[in-house]
Amino acid sequence: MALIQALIDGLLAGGVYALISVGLTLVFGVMGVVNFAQAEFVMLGMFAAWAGWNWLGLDPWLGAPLAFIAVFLLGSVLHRLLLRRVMRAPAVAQIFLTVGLLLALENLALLLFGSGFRSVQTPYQTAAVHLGPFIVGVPQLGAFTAALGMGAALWWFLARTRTGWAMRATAQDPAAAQLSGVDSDAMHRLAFSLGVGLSAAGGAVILPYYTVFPSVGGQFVVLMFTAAVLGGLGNVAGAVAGGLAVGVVQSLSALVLPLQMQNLVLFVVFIAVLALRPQGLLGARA
Amino acid sequence: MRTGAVLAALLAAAALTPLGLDADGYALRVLTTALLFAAAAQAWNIVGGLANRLSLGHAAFFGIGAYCSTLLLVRFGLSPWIGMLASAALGAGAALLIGLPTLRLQGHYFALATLAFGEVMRVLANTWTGLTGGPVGLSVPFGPDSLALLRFKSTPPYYWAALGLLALCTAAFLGVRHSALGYRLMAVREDEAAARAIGVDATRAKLLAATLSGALTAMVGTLYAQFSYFFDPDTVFGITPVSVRIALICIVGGIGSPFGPILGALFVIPMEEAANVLFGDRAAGLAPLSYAVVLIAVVVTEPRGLLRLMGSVLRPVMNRVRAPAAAVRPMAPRPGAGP
Amino acid sequence: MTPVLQVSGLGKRFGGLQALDGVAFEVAAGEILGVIGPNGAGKTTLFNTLTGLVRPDRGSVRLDGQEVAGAPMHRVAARGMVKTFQNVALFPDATVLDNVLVAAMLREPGVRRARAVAAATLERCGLGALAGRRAADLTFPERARVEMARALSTRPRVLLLDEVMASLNPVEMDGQLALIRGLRDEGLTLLVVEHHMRAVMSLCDRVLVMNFGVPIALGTPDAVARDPEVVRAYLGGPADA
Repeated sequence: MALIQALIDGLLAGGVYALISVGLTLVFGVMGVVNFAQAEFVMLGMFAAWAGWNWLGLDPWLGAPLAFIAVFLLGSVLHRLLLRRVMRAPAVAQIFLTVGLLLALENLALLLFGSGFRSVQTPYQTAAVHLGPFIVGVPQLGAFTAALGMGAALWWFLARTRTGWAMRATAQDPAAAQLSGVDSDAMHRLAFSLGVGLSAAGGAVILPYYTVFPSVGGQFVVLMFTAAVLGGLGNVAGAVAGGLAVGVVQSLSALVLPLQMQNLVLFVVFIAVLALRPQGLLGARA
Repeated sequence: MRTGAVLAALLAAAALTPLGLDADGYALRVLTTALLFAAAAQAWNIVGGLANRLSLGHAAFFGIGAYCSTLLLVRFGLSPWIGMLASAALGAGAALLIGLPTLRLQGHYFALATLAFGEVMRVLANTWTGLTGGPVGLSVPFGPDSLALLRFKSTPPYYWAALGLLALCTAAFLGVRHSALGYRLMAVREDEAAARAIGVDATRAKLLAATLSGALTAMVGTLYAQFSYFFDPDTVFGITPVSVRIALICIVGGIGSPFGPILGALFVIPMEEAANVLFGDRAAGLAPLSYAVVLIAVVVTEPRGLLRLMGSVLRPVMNRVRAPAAAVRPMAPRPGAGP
Repeated sequence: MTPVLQVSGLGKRFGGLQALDGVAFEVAAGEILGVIGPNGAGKTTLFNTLTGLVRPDRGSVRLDGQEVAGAPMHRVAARGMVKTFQNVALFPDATVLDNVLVAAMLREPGVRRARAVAAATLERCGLGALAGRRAADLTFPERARVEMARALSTRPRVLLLDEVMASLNPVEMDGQLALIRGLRDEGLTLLVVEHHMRAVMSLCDRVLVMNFGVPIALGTPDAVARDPEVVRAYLGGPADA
């Protein structure tokens, strides 16, 4: 009984983790860069949605598209100013640029918003739906649905639009894509902006049941990276599956372990996948 | 070996420095911290520079060193000097354990895996309260000055101990670089498949480098604990305060060169302090933000670090200085140069 | 006398492609065996499988009677079977001498002695003048020759040369052929993948012809050149010069 409830909770949470992780994997797939700062964009999305609620009275789910757009634009700027310059540099420069971004964004948020915890109040905050003996929180259900919707939109974009195909081509074979007339710099910028925007949107939709503070990104780092690596870095569908899996693992381990130790389980999974099957369980790109 | 001569001169200059500074002053403390992290960065350089594996998890060894010696001191009264040796052994063992599954990875994947290991250690230290005291942290007991207990009231002895560790780590780095192991690591770094093809046991070479690096980093952790008198899991196992800082120091200074960690630490640590002093009171976050911005700027401008940056700035100057009378020759392409 | 190299039933599949399918042959000590075939025949895969860069799915590779199939590359090299890379894989930022030095370290653990062996090997191969040059600065033919010298300094029993004649002019090729014959006279056994028919015909004692991962002929150069199977698959006519 408790097992099934945990499974449901895990899947609901996992849907959102999937959305957050898709951004990370998209950036790696198209640019070949692991964005160590990805979790900070989740934080930015949460703050953006909070700001929308606090100053414009917008429900976070309505604020999510705004958060997406705002962070998308920020991503564009960051790519043009910084990331573009290290695309041909050795891995060390790429890694440390995104690590530097991590530090900069977290402290920028600290500067702008202070270290206090903020949350939103929504009318449906404590509402729940009963499915037989099981309880499903409305905020969680809403977040899951929103994540599903955004995931579908991304799928449609990647599979059915010319730009989406161009981006996938860049991910698979950058040289060939360029020879076919695809501007890989533009594709990188699009992928990065989309990637961080999606993570931000993910942050926005979970605001109803989370609190936001400048270092909240740290809570998502393990989840996000484990999900992306499980599905194979660069594999979008894999990140979705990975996100769901991570949600379930986290939820199930909460039944037996205290909070701090739950993350330990995820770490072990993460390290095991990297060590034994770096291309992920769904083994796309090596 | 000109490098050796320069390093020896630097060592002599550094050893004399405390004599000209206030023994309990801020400047000497900052320099001591810089030397400590320079030593750790030099140890990191063995894996990062010689084996081309960028670890974001060296905090694992640093923290092991801090906890090992302090627990031995507090529980059994064991001298931190012996504790340092025990830390080295534990650090080496941990490096072996971490290295076995991860050293086959490269680049971003290796960075991720080591990051995870560092975090595992931090979570373990936070939750295994019975052993480590948990999130509350550990204190090194105060008392009168004692060499045997590596405990001093003023800074200069710690400064010299840190300098000694830096010298040890630098000697280890250079020793490896010019040894057979160094050549093997070079081969693995340049082209691992080709290295294996001519008989280099790449796995063994990388593991040896990692083990040495882990042992040395743990020793620095011990000295840090003695110098700081107090630490907690987030301070010694943390990503930002330790892992990223160590790696950044080596990279900013110049990865792969024995001078890199030294230059890097003398740049990064005082800059951090300056940012704290200038902005620390104004608003939370402004100091680390300005520090992060400067670091991003350096990494983006010259990924190979300050050494190269300085080199590219100084070379035209040196050329002028050497031949002031001769006209500056235009750059002609070398005959037979590659594509 | 036991053949130096005995290969039987060697198979390797990459996804949908059967790169090697039941390859078998033996090489006697001091023999030069040529391996030819159209592009994609599996020649480089064969070399990769013999030396351990790639694990075979099935089959046996015996070097001096000892099984080495599936062993890690550095161990196969230590046993005495070493190959050169078709695309030449020198260590770009290191000097020519250092490139060869690392290889010499397989037999001479000390750096000083390894350096001496490396310098001697370079002289033997006529490359002494290049010793101090940076590998990345050399021309392609120079790099190919250094790569061979590097493989040589591991003092192998069997040396696998992958298209070392590529991009050599006729004079250089004659020099290379003389070098290889000299090595054989000193007791080395060689397997040579080549596209230059002139080189193959004049150099090799026997030739193994492969097509689509399968050996289709094995014999003296003359016999192979006349084999109708080979003609059909590869030469398309009389052997060209």
